[in-house]
Amino acid sequence: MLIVDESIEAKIRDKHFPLTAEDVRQAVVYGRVISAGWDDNDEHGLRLVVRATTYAGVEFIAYLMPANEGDPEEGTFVLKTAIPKPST
Amino acid sequence: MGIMSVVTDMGRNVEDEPEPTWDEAVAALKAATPVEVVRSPREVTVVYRYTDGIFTATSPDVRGFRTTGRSLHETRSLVQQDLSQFLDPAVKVLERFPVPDREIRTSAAGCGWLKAASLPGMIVLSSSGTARTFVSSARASLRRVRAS
Repeated sequence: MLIVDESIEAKIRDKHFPLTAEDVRQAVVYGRVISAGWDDNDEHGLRLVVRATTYAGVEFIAYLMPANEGDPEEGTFVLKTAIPKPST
Repeated sequence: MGIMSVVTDMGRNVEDEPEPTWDEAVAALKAATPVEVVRSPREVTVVYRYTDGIFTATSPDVRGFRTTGRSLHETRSLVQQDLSQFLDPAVKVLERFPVPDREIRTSAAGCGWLKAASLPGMIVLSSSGTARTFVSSARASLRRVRAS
């Protein structure tokens, strides 16, 4: 499960056009994941970094925070942000 | 299938947080401990509609997905090609086909001609109510079908 906060949805829509949180959610839940890894960041803590592509073909890297810090592999994540690959 | 949940704001102003650049995100992913993402069984629904001689497929689960074809067979084939580019192979695709309009069902012989032009793919019941014919070709709109 991927939880998307309204503020994150607005941030992605405003700062990372043409990406939307819904596109990211669909790609992470249903799409092919290119690669993923655990990033243990001093400031942000443990995050799952996921690279995938939306249905519309926008490649992105999303940062997901485990919803349950005590059990990060439980399967529920909170979307923190998603960065689209710049078009060349 | 609505997996996305909206939770209340957690009190942090995300507008003020600096966003990583694409290069920084790539670097973070390269430095991360690789994992294989294992996801629970999932399914997406594809809904087919028939209007004015064209079959249209959309999905409430995949925003922006829309495929059209002149026959149901062609449309299903295009849907399979299109979604296979995007979907994780483990995702099951559920298909919902046009439902017959009850008004075109006949239960007795001699009910006359049925106009096919506005039918979304059609099921014609015989007088016994057991034999069914599914007309999915675009040509169905050009001819009339007699209910037996």
